[in-house]
Amino acid sequence: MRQYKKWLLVFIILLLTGCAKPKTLEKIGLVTTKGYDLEKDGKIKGSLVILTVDPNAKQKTTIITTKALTARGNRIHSDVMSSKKLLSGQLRVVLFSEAIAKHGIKPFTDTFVRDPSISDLIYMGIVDGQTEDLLGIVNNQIPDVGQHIYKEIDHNVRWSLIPSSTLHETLQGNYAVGKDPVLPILKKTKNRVRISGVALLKDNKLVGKLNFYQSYYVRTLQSPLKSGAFEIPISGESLGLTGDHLPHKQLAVALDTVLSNPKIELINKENLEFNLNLKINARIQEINADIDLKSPKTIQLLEREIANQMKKDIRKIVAYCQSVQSDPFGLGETYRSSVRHANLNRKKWHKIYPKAKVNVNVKFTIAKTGIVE
Amino acid sequence: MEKIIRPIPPTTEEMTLALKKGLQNSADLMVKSAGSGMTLLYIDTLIEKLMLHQDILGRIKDESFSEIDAIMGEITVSDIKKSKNLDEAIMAVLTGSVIVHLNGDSSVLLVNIPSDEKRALSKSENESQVVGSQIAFNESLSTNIQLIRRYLADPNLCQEMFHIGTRTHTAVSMLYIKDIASEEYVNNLRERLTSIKIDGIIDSAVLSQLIEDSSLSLFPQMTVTERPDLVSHWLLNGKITVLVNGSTLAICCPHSFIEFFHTMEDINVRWHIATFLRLLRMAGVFMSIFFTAVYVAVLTYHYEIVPQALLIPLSESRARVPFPPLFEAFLLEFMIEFLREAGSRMPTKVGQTIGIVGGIVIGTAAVDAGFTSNILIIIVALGALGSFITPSYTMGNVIRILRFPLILLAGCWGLYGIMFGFCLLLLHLLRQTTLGAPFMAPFYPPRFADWKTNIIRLPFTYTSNRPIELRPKDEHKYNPEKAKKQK
Repeated sequence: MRQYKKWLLVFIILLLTGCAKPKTLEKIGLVTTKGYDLEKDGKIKGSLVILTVDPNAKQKTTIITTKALTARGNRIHSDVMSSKKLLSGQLRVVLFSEAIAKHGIKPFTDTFVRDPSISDLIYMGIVDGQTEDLLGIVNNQIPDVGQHIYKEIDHNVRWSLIPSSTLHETLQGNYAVGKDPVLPILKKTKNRVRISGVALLKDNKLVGKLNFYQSYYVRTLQSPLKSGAFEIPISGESLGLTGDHLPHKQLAVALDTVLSNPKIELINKENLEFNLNLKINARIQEINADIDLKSPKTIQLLEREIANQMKKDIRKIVAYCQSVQSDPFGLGETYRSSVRHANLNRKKWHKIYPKAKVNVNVKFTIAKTGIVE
Repeated sequence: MEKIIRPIPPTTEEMTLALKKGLQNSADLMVKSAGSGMTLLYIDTLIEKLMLHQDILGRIKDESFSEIDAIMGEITVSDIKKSKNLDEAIMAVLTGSVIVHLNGDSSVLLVNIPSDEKRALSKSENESQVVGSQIAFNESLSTNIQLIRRYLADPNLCQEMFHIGTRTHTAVSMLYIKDIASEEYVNNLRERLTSIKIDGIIDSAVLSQLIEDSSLSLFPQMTVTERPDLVSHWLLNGKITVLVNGSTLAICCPHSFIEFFHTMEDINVRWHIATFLRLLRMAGVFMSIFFTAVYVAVLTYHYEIVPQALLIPLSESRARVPFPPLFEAFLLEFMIEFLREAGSRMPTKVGQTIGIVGGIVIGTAAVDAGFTSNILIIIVALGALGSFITPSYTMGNVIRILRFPLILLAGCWGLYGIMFGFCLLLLHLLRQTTLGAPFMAPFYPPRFADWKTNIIRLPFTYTSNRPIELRPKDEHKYNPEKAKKQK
């Protein structure tokens, strides 16, 4: 009898199959990219890039654009326009137009993070212009705009050209105190997608923008790096170079980071003062002037010139970030971890952060002048 | 119940009559008079004729004996015995003895001269190996024991004889090395062998099913092998072997799960290769069981975990298939099983056709017709390969059918189903025993000392101990301290 009951139980479990909803791969529409724009009437215009699996189809993606009051609403409206059930388990990139980002992206990120099928490693981005236009790029060289954008952001993040902006990191804006997330800004340029800089957020709202040149510094100041290429303009006075022979009269060095290590120190708790120390070890890849790289003195002068330029650039960025009350470097985290009973909350930090004095110190050393890669 | 002993009738006529009655008037029972009141009774087909003439008839003919003991001295066959029991005499006739009866004497001589019709020793076909000996057992029990004794010239190699089967009286021999094999296991096996009540066993594969711990389990708990070198190796480790007359397979036990994936070659080749091959086999088995199931689960429920690079090829190859993944997988798995079963039952000459049918017709045509996706064909083929990688055929069969319930579970509940199935499988395996020893050793109970000989294989300099899961009386293969000193 007991045996019989045991088997009955097994068969009843088999009947439970009705409860799991199958999502067979070829029967669902895979949303790979989502873009959100703000309509004039205040509604959200959502564009979903859907992967087409038909081997005979020429266009690898379909784009469905709908208007709704919520992000979920967009998907419901898109479902009634699609031949397949739309699911976002393969979502890779979410883009927001500047207009919608200024109103805050929290409702979106919150929805995504609560959906277990959405990965925490998807990238967030801001679009300069309309996301619908960007996703609607028709270019023979870009068969799948969703994948194109994902790969573009991904390799630039991996090679440390721009700060990482995964959903997980963007959520810092929701939960962390003392550090604000940054998102890359994408722009449609000449029928291509270009990363034009990074956007600064405060309380999940877009408050400022830095250009691409500045985004390297943001990434470098966030955490130690072992890669990252950049081009830096320098003044050639101490080297005795004017750059007059150059067509644009600007001396510049192309550098490749070997090792960079930022360090933030709180030196005064009452009158908020930080030391922002950056140690960079890089190799020179190119310099657009005739210069003797074998002479130690020249190298020394060059190092000083580059360090000065960096100091200047960083000071400018820090001042700008303070003016928009956004803290992408995590000065607040240093403050919170070094001050006992700081009781820091986001509001308080954003109030005191602009008044903080930040001393920038850059120690730049040239590791190699020889082999380029 | 006391058995009544029937005496041997003293007169020739009565004896002949009794024997004829005892053997149901069998036509091949020969009654031959050897003069002077001596009669030879034997079954023509069972005895060695040459010996009958040379060693029996040639010695006693033309002479007269007054008593049976005198005849015994004349016959030059070593296996000779005196008996007063009619039933014993009948049994002896059936196993190739000649009864020498002297008129007026109530005891007979049983001269055992069975005809030893046997196949010549041949190469091991089913468990072939490159490095190592090539010989395999044949159907003769005495030859098989001889083969093992040639490898192990150890006076402690014990051999116990049993006769199993009320009708077949099959000779069964249990071998073990007295000062290595654990007494507990030996007693256990002896008890199991003696307590079998059955009309007959034909092969050791049947015997192993009769004496294994759980016949309801999917997994075999004793292994059978046709390699005398492997048996000798295992005997040295402290295992017990059972040989059955008429069977080319030797039963070895206790045999844990992991040992089903060992071969003799693991010992013969150098340890790096052996370790690699063992890990390769485990990976193959794992793949074989889970690959198709994971495919079904991912395509039915977990589209999220498909890597982006695989997304397009996977969905494009699936786009033409009209069936749900579960059905598609079952279709292809059964095709492979049909092919395999057809291939193993077919005469070798026709067997080649199977390869063509399987490879070209079913493989290519099924994809062209849109029956299955390319990717599933690869997965199913890999799974089939993985199940062939198991050295033990009996275990390979289990691996082969294990995937079906898992595919079904994957189709019903996705990865949760696979996990559920895997847990059940693990629970089942952990409960099994082999001759009372834990089946999943050395994993559970953890016997870390055995990992270096059973999971990987370290060089012999690091493995001076016998596997402790066999509880050998003599734990050392050699004394590492002594070996060091001699160096």
